[in-house]
Amino acid sequence: MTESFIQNPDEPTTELISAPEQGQDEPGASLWSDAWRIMRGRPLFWISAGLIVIFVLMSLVPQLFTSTDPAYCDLSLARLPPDSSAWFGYDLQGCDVYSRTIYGARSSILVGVLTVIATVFIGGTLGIIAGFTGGWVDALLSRIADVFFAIPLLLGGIIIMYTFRSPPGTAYSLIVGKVVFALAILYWPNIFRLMRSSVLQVKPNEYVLAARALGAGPARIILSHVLPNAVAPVIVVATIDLGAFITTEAALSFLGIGLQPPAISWGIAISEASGLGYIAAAPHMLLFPSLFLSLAVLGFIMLGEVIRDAMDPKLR
Amino acid sequence: MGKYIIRRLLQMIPVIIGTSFLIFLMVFVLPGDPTDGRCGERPCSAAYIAKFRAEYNLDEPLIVRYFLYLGKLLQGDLGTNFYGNRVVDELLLRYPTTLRLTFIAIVVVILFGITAGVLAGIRKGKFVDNLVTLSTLILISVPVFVLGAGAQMVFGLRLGLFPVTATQGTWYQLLMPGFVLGALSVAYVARLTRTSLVENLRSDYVRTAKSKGMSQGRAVGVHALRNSLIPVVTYIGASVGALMGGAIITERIFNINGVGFFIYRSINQRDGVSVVGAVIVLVVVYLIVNLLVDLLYGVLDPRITND
Repeated sequence: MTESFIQNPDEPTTELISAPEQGQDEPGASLWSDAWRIMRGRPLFWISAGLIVIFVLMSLVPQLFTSTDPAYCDLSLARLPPDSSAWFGYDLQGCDVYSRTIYGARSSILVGVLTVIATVFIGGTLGIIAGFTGGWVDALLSRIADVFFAIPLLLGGIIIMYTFRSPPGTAYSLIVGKVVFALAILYWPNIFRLMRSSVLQVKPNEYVLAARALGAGPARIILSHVLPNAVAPVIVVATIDLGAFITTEAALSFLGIGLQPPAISWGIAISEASGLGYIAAAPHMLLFPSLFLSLAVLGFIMLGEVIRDAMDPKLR
Repeated sequence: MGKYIIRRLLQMIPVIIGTSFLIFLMVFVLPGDPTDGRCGERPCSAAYIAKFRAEYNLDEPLIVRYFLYLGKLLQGDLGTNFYGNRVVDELLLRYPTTLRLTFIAIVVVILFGITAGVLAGIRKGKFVDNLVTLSTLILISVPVFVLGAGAQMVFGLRLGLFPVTATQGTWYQLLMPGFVLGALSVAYVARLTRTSLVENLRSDYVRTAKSKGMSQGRAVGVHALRNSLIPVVTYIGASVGALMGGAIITERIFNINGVGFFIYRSINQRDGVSVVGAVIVLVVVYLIVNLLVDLLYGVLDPRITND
């Protein structure tokens, strides 16, 4: 059980941290085991980890939670309130809200995880290159990042999603890919700046100088010295961002420009339920997807903060 | 100071050129026919396509087109949608409402965010602090459209305290939407104020002030708080981008006839000219606000300008 707990926050960045840890067992291990010891004692950690495990399970095997087909709808049941056979009631088309809420987790988690992987990969790699190389490469990459940084996430997301519109019948994976692309292309500068400044902080240290004097190449210095010391803030921010990406995906779907029916997603469900007449007549349609969405976002943000507190003793 | 202002202005130029070029590329160059999806569900009429091609100089080379486009933007020409309305006029009609909404949100952020942050910061580790930390965490997690629909349901429909929709966009009608829009930034500002204040309360100059016999209130209010608010001011400026994104959602929920609702409506009517024109204006506003905040930052913190 504990295994899966540790894996989640690290999932997006496995490729970045697994390599250096072998090369630098002692100091790397002590930092992380220290953090792990602190986190273990905090109830917030277990709450957030529990939430995340539940939502990840929900997105991988929704059948565990419900045996009702989310696509089976009976118009005669439309907007019926919760009862013993349908715990969360029925939506506009008479589909089971509980089942659709469970299946809706997949879109959110998928978009969140993929976007984090993409931003950490693009921003992290470029950030290391810029920070480590310096000079004109750094200047050029930083100016490019400035341009993308200047466009607010949701506004830019609207433009990109409108440009790459998805006509009805577009494959689910393609639409998810577009959302991930839109978010990643707008958000990578945040990770880039973080990684770059981390690298700049680590670079002048004596141990980096020593490694270079011993004849280590740039690749080795980056992997075994710079990365292990620079990766902690990136992991924290990436975990918190995962929550933000889930929110933005839901917001785009809410505006009718992200995922589209027949795809099942919390954003779409909330969008459909939030017509004024429906809020009054069938509030359950709004309540349950909203609750799940908020809890999922809460899980990731809380976990990120717990990790940050554990990594950075100054804040305590 | 003069040098600082000039440097910031110069740094801004490549960002503005880059950003506008990026948006230009995305909108007018990348996917196939640029008139696709600008005329609602129907394909564009031959007459509109011809007009559109002429208006955006689609037969010219890329660079020429970009500068012609930039020139139009500078003159305030955002294009004409397929209804034959100029997008600028549509925006001029609606921006006062959105401005009012954003103003309420910013006031809410300043009042509640900073107060909560100061209370938590001076009582670090106590009940108030934990309350603020936990409630801001929850506030950050609840997306703005969930909060908006929830507020509409509880305060509007059940309790009847506030109007459910804000169709006319009066100050009173915009009060609840303004709170909803500002809620997320309230949480961030409270946390930032808290962290920043806690850090400054530990600093040498606060200890000196206290050891000279200065009261707790004066040491906190005059010395620590003023320094702590510098990053908060920057954050409030930067959050304008998020507020404008949020306004699109808030205005949709409360039926507020502002710029955000216009964007939402245009998305669903497949009126691309309006979507892009309106969003570009918001991005430009965001850039200008950030520049102003940067300059203000230099005034507030003289250390910045002297480097």
